[in-house]
Amino acid sequence: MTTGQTAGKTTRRNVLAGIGAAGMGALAMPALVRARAGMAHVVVIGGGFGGATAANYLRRLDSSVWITVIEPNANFTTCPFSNLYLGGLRDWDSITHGYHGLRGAAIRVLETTAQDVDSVARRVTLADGTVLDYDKLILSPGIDIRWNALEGYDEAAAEIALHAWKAGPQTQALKARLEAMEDGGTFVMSITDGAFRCPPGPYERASMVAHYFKTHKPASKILLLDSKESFSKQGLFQQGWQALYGDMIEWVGQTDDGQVLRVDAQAGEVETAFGTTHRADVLNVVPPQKAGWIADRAGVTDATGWVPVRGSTFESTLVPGIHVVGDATIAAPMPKSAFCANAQGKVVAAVIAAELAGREPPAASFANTCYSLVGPDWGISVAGVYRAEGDTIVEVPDSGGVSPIDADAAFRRAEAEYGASWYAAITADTWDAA
Amino acid sequence: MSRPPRIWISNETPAPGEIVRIRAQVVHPMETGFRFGPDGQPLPENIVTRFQAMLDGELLMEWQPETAVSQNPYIEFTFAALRGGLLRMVWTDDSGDIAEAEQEIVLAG
Ligand SMILES: Cc1cc2nc3c(=O)[nH]c(=O)nc-3n(C[C@H](O)[C@H](O)[C@H](O)COP(=O)(O)OP(=O)(O)OC[C@H]3O[C@@H](n4cnc5c(N)ncnc54)[C@H](O)[C@@H]3O)c2cc1C
Repeated sequence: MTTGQTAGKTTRRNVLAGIGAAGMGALAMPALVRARAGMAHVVVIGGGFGGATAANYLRRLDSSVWITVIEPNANFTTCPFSNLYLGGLRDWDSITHGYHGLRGAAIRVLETTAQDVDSVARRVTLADGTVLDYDKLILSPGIDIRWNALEGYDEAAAEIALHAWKAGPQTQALKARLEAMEDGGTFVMSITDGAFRCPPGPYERASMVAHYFKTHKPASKILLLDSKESFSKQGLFQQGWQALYGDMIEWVGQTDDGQVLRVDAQAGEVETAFGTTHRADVLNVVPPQKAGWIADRAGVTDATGWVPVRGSTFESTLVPGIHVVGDATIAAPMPKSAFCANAQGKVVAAVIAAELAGREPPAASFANTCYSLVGPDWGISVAGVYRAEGDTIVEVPDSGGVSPIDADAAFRRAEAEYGASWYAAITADTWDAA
Repeated sequence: MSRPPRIWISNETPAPGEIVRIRAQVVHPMETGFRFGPDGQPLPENIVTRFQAMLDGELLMEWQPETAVSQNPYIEFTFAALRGGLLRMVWTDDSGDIAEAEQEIVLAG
């Protein structure tokens, strides 16, 4: 909190902060709602990387706009570095972030779920039936699982064959399973193809599980059954795996019958396209995905299950007036990463601030770096720079790249450190007050 | 097509009229002819131009993949098992190379 907090002196800023702290209670007070008449109201659904960043940056650009973030979780545990938690390199608290920073910046954070969106009346209905009117709506609901898109993988199955692809109880349960597994067991991961959150994520997870096995259960194996023919930073990952874990990790690509088409969670088994059955002691499924379900309610998804947007503004191409950022969007060539969600959140904040002030929005520019940890002192990365060309997003030619394959140990250690610095910086940028 | 094709069949002894599902994949570079080699010369096109599935000598289905199909083309199809016989699948590429896979199908009952 910077200004406006002088004791005893009521400014609009600390009135708003007080409302934020009161949370849902404030909604029941129509007088307070009326007091804001005339002020633009921006509602943000989702307090993850995209949504929290958009709210945070909009406040920096416009000190008077009324901002409400809707997020059911009291605290947000990040998927980035959740693999390090599985590997025993990070504890839960260090990857969990609160909303006091946003609240301190006079952003109202309601701890609830948005149940429905009426884009004509410009209204959001909350889980308890409360209705919020908005002038601008930002969606950053992340992903949902496409249940049964993979045969046998429904909500009940996911309680046994964990996905842990949203950080939370699933992640903690997966760690408990790994800890309960006997030395000599096999950890099997089934990996989807198509569009999914964090392209290098499965391989970083394999690395971190391998690190845990190497230090606690060295006779254990890791089998990666992949629906793809190749994967992000493949050469770098495989080089690191060989150097650090020998032949502990086996990767089977689509061409070698790696594509899993059926999951039997009860039996702990998966079946591949060409009929091979693999049995796991701990089974982890990175399943087919789609945009968070509220995007469907808002009418912004297309037949792919994802959200088409204009690259310059991240406004929905299907429903004008709704901006969507993060994993839910079709933003290729940008990957579905926290880095990208954060960058898109900033662009949308700038666009909305400009629109509210009657200015032309600035030109959009985006960057991404995905750091992955192969071992405690072994980091690798891939980076890209993007800009909008009309409604589409293009990669800036000759920008970005991946870590060199022939780098020495000092280089890999430095990249592990850059990754940790990146994490500290992006989480502060997303959730800490301006 | 150095490696033999990989095939999977839902049931090789189907009941008459049962829908049988086939999955088949061949290892092939699917070189489009649009890429350049290290010497700056275009790499000649070499894609699988035709896939045919025959049951008991009769054509069940034909597929003509084009350059947009990625390497190691994968196909999945179904047919109603109205009779048994030898299911034969043949892949042909630009260079005239041929790969084949066979599966005997016997109607149950
Ligand atoms: C294992 C793993 C490792 C990863 N590592 C990295 C990494 O190292 N670097 C990187 O850049 N990215 C990484 N990612 C990707 C990153 O987690 C996502 O790209 C990022 O979280 C996307 O942000 P988002 O805002 O779209 O969604 P999220 O961050 O998931 O936020 C969505 C929020 O919306 C809320 N929400 C959903 N529906 C509603 C509703 N109806 N009402 C109210 N709230 C709702 C959810 O509760 C959630 O808090 C990783 C992902 C995984 C799975």
